[in-house]
Amino acid sequence: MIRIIKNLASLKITVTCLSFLFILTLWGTLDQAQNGLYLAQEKFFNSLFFMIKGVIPFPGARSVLWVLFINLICAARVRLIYQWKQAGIIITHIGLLLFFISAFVIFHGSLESNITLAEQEGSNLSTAYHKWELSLWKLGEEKKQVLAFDSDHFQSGQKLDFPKYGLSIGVKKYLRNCEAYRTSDVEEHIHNASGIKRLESIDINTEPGRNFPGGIFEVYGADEKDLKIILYGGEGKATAIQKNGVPYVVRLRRKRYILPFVIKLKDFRKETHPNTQMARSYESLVDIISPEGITREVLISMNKPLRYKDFTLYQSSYAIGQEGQEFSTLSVVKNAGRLLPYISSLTVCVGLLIHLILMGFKKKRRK
Amino acid sequence: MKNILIVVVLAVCLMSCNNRSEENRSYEEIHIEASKQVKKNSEPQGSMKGSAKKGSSKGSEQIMKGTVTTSPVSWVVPSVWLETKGSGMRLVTFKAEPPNSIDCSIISLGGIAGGFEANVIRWIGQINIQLTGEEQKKFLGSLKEEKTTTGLPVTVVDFTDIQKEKNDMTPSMMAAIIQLEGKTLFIKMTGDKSAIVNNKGSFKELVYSISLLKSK
Repeated sequence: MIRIIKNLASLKITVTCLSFLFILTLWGTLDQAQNGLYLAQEKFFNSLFFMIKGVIPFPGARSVLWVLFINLICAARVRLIYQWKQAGIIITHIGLLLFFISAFVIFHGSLESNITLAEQEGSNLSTAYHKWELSLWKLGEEKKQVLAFDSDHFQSGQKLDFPKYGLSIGVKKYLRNCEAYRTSDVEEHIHNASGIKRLESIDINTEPGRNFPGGIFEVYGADEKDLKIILYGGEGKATAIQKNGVPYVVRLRRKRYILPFVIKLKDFRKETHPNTQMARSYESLVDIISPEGITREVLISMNKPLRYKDFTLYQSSYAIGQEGQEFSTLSVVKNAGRLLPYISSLTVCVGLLIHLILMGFKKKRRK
Repeated sequence: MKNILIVVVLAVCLMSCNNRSEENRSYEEIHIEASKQVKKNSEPQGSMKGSAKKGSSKGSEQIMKGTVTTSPVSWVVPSVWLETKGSGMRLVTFKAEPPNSIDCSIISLGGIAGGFEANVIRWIGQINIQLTGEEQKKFLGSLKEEKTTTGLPVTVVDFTDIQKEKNDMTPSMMAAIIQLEGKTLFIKMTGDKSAIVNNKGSFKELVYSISLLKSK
Protein backbone atom coordinates (compact mmCIF):
# COMPACT_ATOMS: atom_id res chain seq x y z
CA MET A 1 0.00 0.00 0.00
CA ILE A 2 2.72 2.43 1.03
CA ARG A 3 4.60 1.79 -2.25
CA ILE A 4 1.48 2.72 -4.25
CA ILE A 5 1.10 5.92 -2.26
CA LYS A 6 4.82 6.72 -2.74
CA ASN A 7 4.46 6.25 -6.52
CA LEU A 8 1.35 8.43 -6.56
CA ALA A 9 3.27 11.11 -4.66
CA SER A 10 5.97 11.29 -7.34
CA LEU A 11 7.22 14.74 -8.34
CA LYS A 12 7.16 13.57 -11.99
CA ILE A 13 3.36 13.36 -11.77
CA THR A 14 3.22 16.90 -10.36
CA VAL A 15 5.37 18.31 -13.16
CA THR A 16 3.44 16.37 -15.85
CA CYS A 17 0.10 17.63 -14.52
CA LEU A 18 1.33 21.22 -14.37
CA SER A 19 2.55 20.89 -17.98
CA PHE A 20 -0.84 19.58 -19.07
CA LEU A 21 -2.57 22.47 -17.29
CA PHE A 22 -0.31 24.93 -19.10
CA ILE A 23 -1.15 23.35 -22.48
CA LEU A 24 -4.88 23.28 -21.71
CA THR A 25 -4.90 26.90 -20.57
CA LEU A 26 -3.07 28.07 -23.69
CA TRP A 27 -5.10 25.91 -26.05
CA GLY A 28 -8.41 26.79 -24.40
CA THR A 29 -7.63 30.51 -24.57
CA LEU A 30 -6.84 30.29 -28.28
CA ASP A 31 -9.88 28.10 -28.97
CA GLN A 32 -12.33 30.42 -27.24
CA ALA A 33 -11.52 33.18 -29.72
CA GLN A 34 -12.93 30.97 -32.49
CA ASN A 35 -15.56 28.86 -30.76
CA GLY A 36 -16.74 31.10 -27.97
CA LEU A 37 -16.08 31.13 -24.27
CA TYR A 38 -18.77 28.66 -23.22
CA LEU A 39 -17.83 25.87 -25.68
CA ALA A 40 -14.12 26.27 -24.95
CA GLN A 41 -14.80 26.10 -21.22
CA GLU A 42 -16.92 22.95 -21.58
CA LYS A 43 -14.36 21.26 -23.84
CA PHE A 44 -11.05 22.10 -22.18
CA PHE A 45 -11.86 22.83 -18.55
CA ASN A 46 -15.11 21.11 -17.57
CA SER A 47 -14.59 17.78 -19.35
CA LEU A 48 -12.71 14.69 -18.22
CA PHE A 49 -11.50 13.94 -21.75
CA PHE A 50 -12.00 15.35 -25.21
CA MET A 51 -11.08 14.03 -28.64
CA ILE A 52 -8.60 15.68 -30.99
CA LYS A 53 -9.88 15.36 -34.55
CA GLY A 54 -12.37 12.83 -33.18
CA VAL A 55 -9.64 10.20 -32.82
CA ILE A 56 -7.02 11.02 -30.20
CA PRO A 57 -8.18 11.36 -26.59
CA PHE A 58 -6.70 14.19 -24.55
CA PRO A 59 -7.27 14.75 -20.83
CA GLY A 60 -9.42 17.73 -19.88
CA ALA A 61 -8.53 20.01 -16.96
CA ARG A 62 -10.98 18.12 -14.73
CA SER A 63 -8.98 14.86 -15.02
CA VAL A 64 -5.64 16.63 -14.65
CA LEU A 65 -6.78 18.43 -11.51
CA TRP A 66 -8.05 15.18 -10.00
CA VAL A 67 -4.65 13.52 -10.61
CA LEU A 68 -2.88 16.57 -9.16
CA PHE A 69 -5.15 16.50 -6.10
CA ILE A 70 -4.43 12.80 -5.48
CA ASN A 71 -0.72 13.51 -6.01
CA LEU A 72 -0.87 16.29 -3.41
CA ILE A 73 -2.71 14.10 -0.88
CA CYS A 74 -0.15 11.31 -1.30
CA ALA A 75 2.73 13.81 -1.07
CA ALA A 76 1.24 15.07 2.20
CA ARG A 77 1.33 11.47 3.43
CA VAL A 78 4.86 10.47 2.44
CA ARG A 79 6.93 13.60 1.75
CA LEU A 80 5.95 16.14 4.38
CA ILE A 81 7.89 16.08 7.65
CA TYR A 82 5.47 16.76 10.47
CA GLN A 83 7.62 18.92 12.80
CA TRP A 84 7.11 22.43 14.18
CA LYS A 85 9.96 23.82 12.11
CA GLN A 86 8.09 22.63 8.97
CA ALA A 87 4.82 24.30 10.07
CA GLY A 88 4.96 26.86 7.26
CA ILE A 89 5.27 24.23 4.54
CA ILE A 90 2.52 22.09 6.09
CA ILE A 91 0.11 25.06 6.29
CA THR A 92 0.93 26.06 2.68
CA HIS A 93 0.27 22.50 1.58
CA ILE A 94 -3.07 22.50 3.41
CA GLY A 95 -3.91 25.79 1.65
CA LEU A 96 -3.20 24.20 -1.75
CA LEU A 97 -5.43 21.25 -0.90
CA LEU A 98 -8.14 23.70 0.13
CA PHE A 99 -7.89 25.29 -3.34
CA PHE A 100 -8.77 21.94 -4.88
CA ILE A 101 -11.58 21.37 -2.41
CA SER A 102 -13.03 24.82 -3.13
CA ALA A 103 -12.79 24.18 -6.90
CA PHE A 104 -14.68 20.92 -6.37
CA VAL A 105 -17.39 22.55 -4.23
CA ILE A 106 -17.83 25.47 -6.65
CA PHE A 107 -17.87 23.23 -9.74
CA HIS A 108 -20.52 20.91 -8.33
CA GLY A 109 -22.47 23.36 -6.23
CA SER A 110 -22.53 26.67 -8.07
CA LEU A 111 -25.24 27.80 -10.45
CA GLU A 112 -25.63 30.87 -12.61
CA SER A 113 -29.00 31.95 -13.87
CA ASN A 114 -31.06 35.09 -14.31
CA ILE A 115 -34.51 36.46 -13.61
CA THR A 116 -36.35 39.10 -15.63
CA LEU A 117 -39.29 40.83 -14.04
CA ALA A 118 -41.66 43.57 -15.10
CA GLU A 119 -42.66 46.08 -12.45
CA GLN A 120 -45.08 44.48 -9.95
CA GLU A 121 -44.20 41.03 -11.27
CA GLY A 122 -42.80 38.38 -8.93
CA SER A 123 -41.47 34.84 -9.13
CA ASN A 124 -39.70 32.15 -7.13
CA LEU A 125 -37.78 30.79 -10.13
CA SER A 126 -34.68 31.86 -11.99
CA THR A 127 -33.90 30.85 -15.57
CA ALA A 128 -30.78 29.08 -16.83
CA TYR A 129 -28.70 30.75 -19.52
CA HIS A 130 -27.95 27.67 -21.61
CA LYS A 131 -29.80 24.66 -20.24
CA TRP A 132 -33.28 23.53 -21.25
CA GLU A 133 -36.01 21.40 -19.73
CA LEU A 134 -39.15 19.67 -20.85
CA SER A 135 -41.76 20.60 -18.27
CA LEU A 136 -45.30 19.44 -17.72
CA TRP A 137 -47.98 20.73 -15.38
CA LYS A 138 -51.70 20.42 -14.77
CA LEU A 139 -53.86 23.42 -15.57
CA GLY A 140 -56.39 24.87 -13.20
CA GLU A 141 -54.70 23.88 -9.94
CA GLU A 142 -54.29 26.36 -7.12
CA LYS A 143 -50.60 25.55 -6.81
CA LYS A 144 -48.72 25.08 -10.07
CA GLN A 145 -46.71 21.91 -9.58
CA VAL A 146 -44.24 21.45 -12.42
CA LEU A 147 -42.56 18.15 -13.34
CA ALA A 148 -39.46 18.64 -15.46
CA PHE A 149 -36.73 16.67 -17.22
CA ASP A 150 -33.41 18.20 -18.25
CA SER A 151 -33.38 17.99 -22.02
CA ASP A 152 -29.65 18.45 -22.67
CA HIS A 153 -29.06 14.69 -22.85
CA PHE A 154 -32.28 13.62 -24.60
CA GLN A 155 -31.80 10.70 -26.96
CA SER A 156 -34.17 9.24 -29.54
CA GLY A 157 -36.11 6.37 -28.01
CA GLN A 158 -35.84 7.74 -24.47
CA LYS A 159 -39.02 7.62 -22.40
CA LEU A 160 -39.89 10.26 -19.80
CA ASP A 161 -42.30 9.09 -17.13
CA PHE A 162 -44.67 11.34 -15.23
CA PRO A 163 -46.20 8.74 -12.86
CA LYS A 164 -47.98 11.40 -10.79
CA TYR A 165 -50.20 12.18 -13.80
CA GLY A 166 -50.17 8.75 -15.44
CA LEU A 167 -48.49 10.17 -18.55
CA SER A 168 -45.31 9.29 -20.42
CA ILE A 169 -43.55 11.14 -23.20
CA GLY A 170 -41.33 9.35 -25.67
CA VAL A 171 -38.55 11.23 -27.45
CA LYS A 172 -38.84 10.54 -31.19
CA LYS A 173 -36.31 13.14 -32.35
CA TYR A 174 -34.40 15.84 -30.48
CA LEU A 175 -32.38 18.61 -32.08
CA ARG A 176 -30.08 20.78 -30.02
CA ASN A 177 -30.44 23.73 -32.35
CA CYS A 178 -33.11 24.00 -34.99
CA GLU A 179 -35.48 26.21 -36.91
CA ALA A 180 -39.24 25.82 -36.88
CA TYR A 181 -41.57 26.07 -39.86
CA ARG A 182 -45.33 26.13 -40.24
CA THR A 183 -45.26 24.28 -43.55
CA SER A 184 -44.38 20.70 -44.28
CA ASP A 185 -44.33 18.49 -47.38
CA VAL A 186 -45.29 15.48 -45.27
CA GLU A 187 -48.93 15.08 -44.31
CA GLU A 188 -48.68 14.10 -40.67
CA HIS A 189 -50.90 15.05 -37.76
CA ILE A 190 -48.52 16.68 -35.30
CA HIS A 191 -49.92 18.83 -32.55
CA ASN A 192 -48.29 22.17 -31.64
CA ALA A 193 -49.69 25.31 -29.98
CA SER A 194 -47.99 27.67 -32.47
CA GLY A 195 -48.87 25.72 -35.65
CA ILE A 196 -45.32 24.39 -36.12
CA LYS A 197 -45.25 21.41 -38.49
CA ARG A 198 -41.55 20.91 -39.14
CA LEU A 199 -38.15 21.34 -37.49
CA GLU A 200 -34.88 21.66 -39.40
CA SER A 201 -31.60 21.01 -37.64
CA ILE A 202 -28.98 23.80 -37.89
CA ASP A 203 -25.37 24.12 -36.69
CA ILE A 204 -24.80 24.65 -33.00
CA ASN A 205 -24.13 28.33 -32.39
CA THR A 206 -20.88 29.25 -30.61
CA GLU A 207 -22.98 31.53 -28.44
CA PRO A 208 -25.01 28.90 -26.58
CA GLY A 209 -27.76 31.38 -25.66
CA ARG A 210 -28.66 31.56 -29.37
CA ASN A 211 -29.36 27.82 -29.68
CA PHE A 212 -33.04 26.89 -29.70
CA PRO A 213 -33.68 23.17 -29.34
CA GLY A 214 -36.74 21.35 -30.55
CA GLY A 215 -38.10 17.86 -30.78
CA ILE A 216 -40.84 15.53 -31.85
CA PHE A 217 -42.40 13.60 -28.99
CA GLU A 218 -45.08 10.95 -28.57
CA VAL A 219 -47.45 11.23 -25.63
CA TYR A 220 -48.65 8.03 -23.95
CA GLY A 221 -51.63 7.91 -21.62
CA ALA A 222 -53.40 10.95 -23.09
CA ASP A 223 -57.03 10.89 -24.28
CA GLU A 224 -55.86 11.04 -27.90
CA LYS A 225 -54.05 7.83 -28.83
CA ASP A 226 -50.71 8.01 -30.69
CA LEU A 227 -50.54 11.73 -29.96
CA LYS A 228 -47.48 13.29 -31.57
CA ILE A 229 -46.39 16.77 -30.55
CA ILE A 230 -43.68 19.20 -31.66
CA LEU A 231 -42.03 21.31 -29.03
CA TYR A 232 -39.72 24.21 -29.93
CA GLY A 233 -37.63 26.25 -27.50
CA GLY A 234 -38.22 29.42 -29.49
CA GLU A 235 -42.00 29.42 -29.10
CA GLY A 236 -43.57 31.19 -26.16
CA LYS A 237 -46.56 28.86 -25.89
CA ALA A 238 -47.12 25.55 -24.13
CA THR A 239 -48.82 22.68 -25.96
CA ALA A 240 -52.00 21.39 -24.35
CA ILE A 241 -52.83 17.70 -23.89
CA GLN A 242 -55.75 16.04 -22.17
CA LYS A 243 -56.03 13.02 -19.92
CA ASN A 244 -59.46 11.92 -18.75
CA GLY A 245 -60.73 15.35 -19.77
CA VAL A 246 -58.22 17.11 -17.51
CA PRO A 247 -55.99 19.64 -19.31
CA TYR A 248 -52.21 19.52 -18.98
CA VAL A 249 -49.57 21.58 -20.72
CA VAL A 250 -46.11 20.58 -21.85
CA ARG A 251 -43.37 22.94 -22.90
CA LEU A 252 -39.71 22.99 -23.89
CA ARG A 253 -38.27 25.98 -22.06
CA ARG A 254 -35.07 27.21 -20.45
CA LYS A 255 -34.35 25.29 -17.24
CA ARG A 256 -35.80 26.80 -14.09
CA TYR A 257 -34.09 26.88 -10.69
CA ILE A 258 -35.95 27.27 -7.42
CA LEU A 259 -35.09 30.24 -5.27
CA PRO A 260 -35.60 29.99 -1.48
CA PHE A 261 -37.74 33.13 -1.65
CA VAL A 262 -40.19 34.96 -3.90
CA ILE A 263 -38.81 38.13 -5.42
CA LYS A 264 -41.16 40.89 -6.60
CA LEU A 265 -39.98 43.93 -8.55
CA LYS A 266 -41.64 46.99 -7.00
CA ASP A 267 -39.89 49.70 -8.97
CA PHE A 268 -37.16 49.96 -11.59
CA ARG A 269 -35.21 53.22 -11.82
CA LYS A 270 -32.84 54.28 -14.55
CA GLU A 271 -30.63 57.35 -14.92
CA THR A 272 -29.08 58.29 -18.24
CA HIS A 273 -26.09 60.46 -19.01
CA PRO A 274 -27.28 63.99 -19.76
CA ASN A 275 -28.51 64.53 -23.34
CA THR A 276 -27.90 60.89 -24.27
CA GLN A 277 -29.84 57.64 -24.12
CA MET A 278 -26.91 55.80 -22.52
CA ALA A 279 -27.73 54.44 -19.08
CA ARG A 280 -25.60 55.87 -16.29
CA SER A 281 -27.01 53.66 -13.56
CA TYR A 282 -30.03 51.54 -12.89
CA GLU A 283 -31.45 49.91 -9.80
CA SER A 284 -34.31 47.67 -8.76
CA LEU A 285 -36.40 48.07 -5.64
CA VAL A 286 -37.61 44.57 -4.77
CA ASP A 287 -39.58 42.77 -2.12
CA ILE A 288 -38.02 39.53 -0.87
CA ILE A 289 -40.74 37.27 0.54
CA SER A 290 -39.33 34.43 2.65
CA PRO A 291 -41.07 31.02 2.93
CA GLU A 292 -42.30 32.13 6.40
CA GLY A 293 -44.12 35.02 4.72
CA ILE A 294 -41.83 37.78 5.98
CA THR A 295 -41.39 40.56 3.41
CA ARG A 296 -38.25 42.66 3.22
CA GLU A 297 -37.70 45.60 0.88
CA VAL A 298 -34.24 45.69 -0.72
CA LEU A 299 -32.60 47.98 -3.28
CA ILE A 300 -30.39 46.12 -5.77
CA SER A 301 -28.13 48.43 -7.74
CA MET A 302 -25.14 48.03 -10.01
CA ASN A 303 -22.57 47.88 -7.20
CA LYS A 304 -24.80 46.64 -4.41
CA PRO A 305 -25.99 43.08 -4.94
CA LEU A 306 -28.47 41.31 -2.70
CA ARG A 307 -27.09 38.40 -0.68
CA TYR A 308 -29.55 35.85 0.69
CA LYS A 309 -28.19 32.57 2.09
CA ASP A 310 -26.07 31.07 -0.71
CA PHE A 311 -27.59 33.33 -3.38
CA THR A 312 -26.28 36.61 -4.69
CA LEU A 313 -28.47 38.73 -6.99
CA TYR A 314 -26.80 41.36 -9.15
CA GLN A 315 -28.42 44.09 -11.24
CA SER A 316 -27.56 42.84 -14.70
CA SER A 317 -29.55 44.72 -17.35
CA TYR A 318 -32.92 46.17 -18.25
CA ALA A 319 -35.36 46.51 -21.12
CA ILE A 320 -38.21 48.77 -22.07
CA GLY A 321 -41.24 46.93 -23.45
CA GLN A 322 -43.31 48.00 -26.40
CA GLU A 323 -45.93 49.63 -24.17
CA GLY A 324 -43.32 51.48 -22.15
CA GLN A 325 -43.25 48.97 -19.30
CA GLU A 326 -39.86 48.52 -17.66
CA PHE A 327 -38.21 45.14 -17.17
CA SER A 328 -35.28 44.49 -14.88
CA THR A 329 -32.91 41.53 -15.35
CA LEU A 330 -31.07 40.29 -12.29
CA SER A 331 -28.33 37.69 -12.52
CA VAL A 332 -28.60 35.04 -9.83
CA VAL A 333 -25.47 33.27 -8.61
CA LYS A 334 -25.69 30.36 -6.20
CA ASN A 335 -22.28 29.59 -4.76
CA ALA A 336 -22.12 27.71 -1.48
CA GLY A 337 -18.34 27.74 -1.58
CA ARG A 338 -17.83 31.40 -2.38
CA LEU A 339 -15.66 31.98 0.72
CA LEU A 340 -13.46 28.91 0.18
CA PRO A 341 -11.05 30.49 -2.38
CA TYR A 342 -10.46 33.37 0.05
CA ILE A 343 -9.81 30.95 2.92
CA SER A 344 -7.45 28.91 0.71
CA SER A 345 -5.51 31.99 -0.41
CA LEU A 346 -5.24 33.22 3.18
CA THR A 347 -4.02 29.79 4.34
CA VAL A 348 -1.31 29.70 1.66
CA CYS A 349 -0.21 33.27 2.49
CA VAL A 350 -0.06 32.50 6.21
CA GLY A 351 1.88 29.29 5.51
CA LEU A 352 4.42 31.09 3.34
CA LEU A 353 4.76 33.88 5.89
CA ILE A 354 5.37 31.43 8.73
CA HIS A 355 7.91 29.56 6.59
CA LEU A 356 9.76 32.81 5.81
CA ILE A 357 9.83 33.79 9.49
CA LEU A 358 11.10 30.33 10.52
CA MET A 359 13.79 30.44 7.79
CA GLY A 360 14.80 33.87 9.08
CA PHE A 361 15.20 32.52 12.61
CA LYS A 362 17.14 29.53 11.30
CA LYS A 363 19.63 31.82 9.50
CA LYS A 364 20.11 33.96 12.60
CA ARG A 365 20.87 30.90 14.75
CA ARG A 366 23.49 29.71 12.21
CA LYS A 367 25.23 33.11 12.36
CA MET B 1 -4.97 4.89 9.84
CA LYS B 2 -3.43 7.49 7.54
CA ASN B 3 -3.53 5.01 4.64
CA ILE B 4 -7.20 4.32 5.29
CA LEU B 5 -7.91 8.04 5.23
CA ILE B 6 -6.19 8.35 1.86
CA VAL B 7 -8.18 5.42 0.46
CA VAL B 8 -11.40 7.08 1.66
CA VAL B 9 -10.41 10.35 -0.02
CA LEU B 10 -9.60 8.52 -3.26
CA ALA B 11 -12.95 6.74 -3.12
CA VAL B 12 -14.77 10.06 -2.70
CA CYS B 13 -12.82 11.41 -5.67
CA LEU B 14 -13.86 8.52 -7.90
CA MET B 15 -17.51 8.71 -6.85
CA SER B 16 -17.57 12.41 -7.62
CA CYS B 17 -16.45 11.99 -11.22
CA ASN B 18 -19.99 12.04 -12.51
CA ASN B 19 -22.18 14.38 -14.55
CA ARG B 20 -23.53 17.44 -12.81
CA SER B 21 -26.88 17.36 -14.48
CA GLU B 22 -30.05 16.35 -12.65
CA GLU B 23 -32.61 14.18 -14.34
CA ASN B 24 -36.14 14.41 -13.02
CA ARG B 25 -37.32 17.36 -10.94
CA SER B 26 -40.52 18.54 -9.35
CA TYR B 27 -41.09 22.08 -8.10
CA GLU B 28 -43.80 24.56 -7.30
CA GLU B 29 -43.89 27.60 -9.56
CA ILE B 30 -45.07 30.81 -7.92
CA HIS B 31 -45.78 33.74 -10.23
CA ILE B 32 -47.14 37.13 -9.28
CA GLU B 33 -48.73 38.81 -12.30
CA ALA B 34 -47.59 42.32 -13.16
CA SER B 35 -50.18 45.07 -12.97
CA LYS B 36 -51.37 45.99 -16.49
CA GLN B 37 -51.34 49.71 -15.65
CA VAL B 38 -48.49 51.63 -17.24
CA LYS B 39 -46.71 53.97 -14.83
CA LYS B 40 -47.86 57.60 -15.16
CA ASN B 41 -44.29 58.87 -15.40
CA SER B 42 -43.06 56.08 -17.72
CA GLU B 43 -41.13 57.03 -20.86
CA PRO B 44 -43.31 57.50 -23.94
CA GLN B 45 -42.59 55.18 -26.83
CA GLY B 46 -41.10 57.80 -29.11
CA SER B 47 -38.35 58.87 -26.75
CA MET B 48 -36.31 57.38 -23.91
CA LYS B 49 -34.74 60.30 -22.11
CA GLY B 50 -33.70 60.86 -18.49
CA SER B 51 -35.47 59.61 -15.39
CA ALA B 52 -38.78 61.27 -14.63
CA LYS B 53 -37.46 62.05 -11.15
CA LYS B 54 -34.98 64.54 -12.60
CA GLY B 55 -37.71 66.29 -14.56
CA SER B 56 -38.67 65.64 -18.19
CA SER B 57 -36.77 67.18 -21.04
CA LYS B 58 -38.55 69.60 -23.38
CA GLY B 59 -38.97 66.87 -25.99
CA SER B 60 -40.68 64.49 -23.54
CA GLU B 61 -42.95 67.26 -22.27
CA GLN B 62 -44.08 68.05 -25.79
CA ILE B 63 -44.78 64.37 -26.48
CA MET B 64 -46.81 63.97 -23.30
CA LYS B 65 -48.80 67.17 -23.81
CA GLY B 66 -49.63 66.25 -27.37
CA THR B 67 -50.59 62.71 -26.50
CA VAL B 68 -54.29 62.13 -26.80
CA THR B 69 -56.45 59.55 -25.14
CA THR B 70 -59.37 60.07 -27.46
CA SER B 71 -58.92 58.99 -31.03
CA PRO B 72 -58.20 61.73 -33.59
CA VAL B 73 -58.55 59.24 -36.43
CA SER B 74 -60.84 56.54 -37.75
CA TRP B 75 -60.05 53.29 -39.51
CA VAL B 76 -61.58 50.18 -41.08
CA VAL B 77 -61.07 47.00 -39.09
CA PRO B 78 -59.75 44.10 -41.24
CA SER B 79 -62.37 41.33 -41.31
CA VAL B 80 -60.09 38.67 -39.80
CA TRP B 81 -58.96 40.81 -36.86
CA LEU B 82 -60.58 41.41 -33.50
CA GLU B 83 -60.63 45.00 -32.24
CA THR B 84 -60.38 45.89 -28.55
CA LYS B 85 -60.44 49.32 -27.01
CA GLY B 86 -57.09 50.80 -26.09
CA SER B 87 -56.07 52.74 -23.01
CA GLY B 88 -53.73 55.65 -22.42
CA MET B 89 -51.59 56.29 -25.49
CA ARG B 90 -52.92 53.18 -27.20
CA LEU B 91 -55.98 54.14 -29.21
CA VAL B 92 -56.92 50.60 -30.15
CA THR B 93 -55.55 47.05 -30.20
CA PHE B 94 -56.17 44.34 -32.79
CA LYS B 95 -55.53 40.65 -32.51
CA ALA B 96 -55.63 37.79 -34.99
CA GLU B 97 -56.55 34.21 -34.15
CA PRO B 98 -53.95 31.41 -33.95
CA PRO B 99 -51.98 30.00 -35.67
CA ASN B 100 -51.20 33.41 -37.22
CA SER B 101 -51.53 35.35 -33.95
CA ILE B 102 -50.40 38.95 -34.06
CA ASP B 103 -50.76 41.95 -31.81
CA CYS B 104 -51.40 45.26 -33.58
CA SER B 105 -51.95 48.63 -32.01
CA ILE B 106 -52.40 52.26 -33.01
CA ILE B 107 -50.59 54.71 -30.74
CA SER B 108 -50.82 58.48 -30.90
CA LEU B 109 -48.00 60.65 -29.56
CA GLY B 110 -47.52 64.41 -29.67
CA GLY B 111 -44.92 66.11 -31.86
CA ILE B 112 -42.50 64.08 -33.97
CA ALA B 113 -42.12 61.59 -31.09
CA GLY B 114 -38.40 61.00 -31.52
CA GLY B 115 -38.35 61.13 -35.31
CA PHE B 116 -38.80 58.51 -38.03
CA GLU B 117 -35.24 57.14 -38.19
CA ALA B 118 -34.75 56.87 -34.42
CA ASN B 119 -37.95 54.87 -34.05
CA VAL B 120 -37.07 52.46 -36.89
CA ILE B 121 -33.59 51.88 -35.44
CA ARG B 122 -35.11 51.25 -32.01
CA TRP B 123 -37.56 48.70 -33.48
CA ILE B 124 -34.67 46.94 -35.26
CA GLY B 125 -33.03 46.51 -31.86
CA GLN B 126 -36.28 45.39 -30.22
CA ILE B 127 -36.61 42.39 -32.54
CA ASN B 128 -32.89 41.59 -32.34
CA ILE B 129 -32.01 42.18 -35.97
CA GLN B 130 -28.25 42.56 -36.41
CA LEU B 131 -27.35 44.97 -39.20
CA THR B 132 -24.08 46.61 -40.14
CA GLY B 133 -24.02 50.39 -40.56
CA GLU B 134 -24.20 50.04 -44.35
CA GLU B 135 -27.09 47.57 -44.22
CA GLN B 136 -29.01 49.84 -41.86
CA LYS B 137 -28.46 52.83 -44.13
CA LYS B 138 -29.62 50.81 -47.14
CA PHE B 139 -32.74 49.62 -45.32
CA LEU B 140 -33.68 53.12 -44.17
CA GLY B 141 -33.08 54.43 -47.67
CA SER B 142 -35.45 51.83 -49.15
CA LEU B 143 -38.42 53.07 -47.10
CA LYS B 144 -40.64 55.36 -49.14
CA GLU B 145 -43.46 57.65 -48.09
CA GLU B 146 -46.87 56.75 -49.49
CA LYS B 147 -50.41 58.09 -49.04
CA THR B 148 -53.45 56.61 -47.33
CA THR B 149 -56.79 56.56 -49.18
CA THR B 150 -57.55 59.99 -47.69
CA GLY B 151 -54.14 61.45 -48.59
CA LEU B 152 -52.36 61.20 -45.22
CA PRO B 153 -48.58 60.68 -45.53
CA VAL B 154 -47.57 57.21 -44.34
CA THR B 155 -44.35 55.18 -44.36
CA VAL B 156 -44.72 51.41 -44.00
CA VAL B 157 -41.78 49.50 -42.54
CA ASP B 158 -41.71 45.76 -43.26
CA PHE B 159 -39.03 44.11 -41.12
CA THR B 160 -39.61 40.67 -42.68
CA ASP B 161 -37.72 42.06 -45.72
CA ILE B 162 -34.50 41.93 -43.67
CA GLN B 163 -35.34 38.59 -42.05
CA LYS B 164 -35.61 36.49 -45.20
CA GLU B 165 -33.11 33.89 -43.94
CA LYS B 166 -34.73 33.59 -40.53
CA ASN B 167 -37.16 30.83 -39.60
CA ASP B 168 -40.93 31.18 -39.22
CA MET B 169 -40.85 31.59 -35.43
CA THR B 170 -38.41 34.51 -35.43
CA PRO B 171 -39.95 37.53 -33.66
CA SER B 172 -40.83 40.10 -36.29
CA MET B 173 -42.70 43.30 -36.84
CA MET B 174 -44.41 45.48 -39.38
CA ALA B 175 -44.98 49.13 -38.60
CA ALA B 176 -46.29 52.31 -40.13
CA ILE B 177 -45.76 55.94 -39.18
CA ILE B 178 -48.27 58.65 -40.10
CA GLN B 179 -47.14 62.21 -39.46
CA LEU B 180 -50.06 64.49 -38.65
CA GLU B 181 -50.04 68.10 -37.58
CA GLY B 182 -48.77 68.25 -34.01
CA LYS B 183 -48.84 64.49 -33.52
CA THR B 184 -47.53 61.18 -34.86
CA LEU B 185 -49.43 57.93 -35.29
CA PHE B 186 -47.59 54.63 -34.87
CA ILE B 187 -49.25 51.47 -36.15
CA LYS B 188 -47.28 48.44 -34.97
CA MET B 189 -47.93 44.79 -35.66
CA THR B 190 -45.81 42.25 -33.77
CA GLY B 191 -45.68 38.48 -33.84
CA ASP B 192 -43.54 35.75 -35.28
CA LYS B 193 -42.33 36.07 -38.87
CA SER B 194 -44.79 33.75 -40.57
CA ALA B 195 -47.73 35.39 -38.73
CA ILE B 196 -46.55 38.83 -39.87
CA VAL B 197 -46.21 37.62 -43.45
CA ASN B 198 -49.70 36.10 -43.36
CA ASN B 199 -51.21 39.30 -41.95
CA LYS B 200 -49.46 41.78 -44.25
CA GLY B 201 -52.55 42.27 -46.35
CA SER B 202 -54.75 43.02 -43.31
CA PHE B 203 -52.13 45.40 -41.91
CA LYS B 204 -51.93 47.40 -45.10
CA GLU B 205 -55.74 47.39 -45.33
CA LEU B 206 -55.86 48.97 -41.84
CA VAL B 207 -53.07 51.48 -42.45
CA TYR B 208 -54.38 52.80 -45.77
CA SER B 209 -57.90 53.13 -44.34
CA ILE B 210 -56.82 55.56 -41.59
CA SER B 211 -58.39 58.98 -41.93
CA LEU B 212 -58.71 62.07 -39.78
CA LEU B 213 -61.91 62.53 -37.82
CA LYS B 214 -63.57 65.77 -38.85
CA SER B 215 -63.79 68.25 -35.93
CA LYS B 216 -67.27 69.39 -35.00
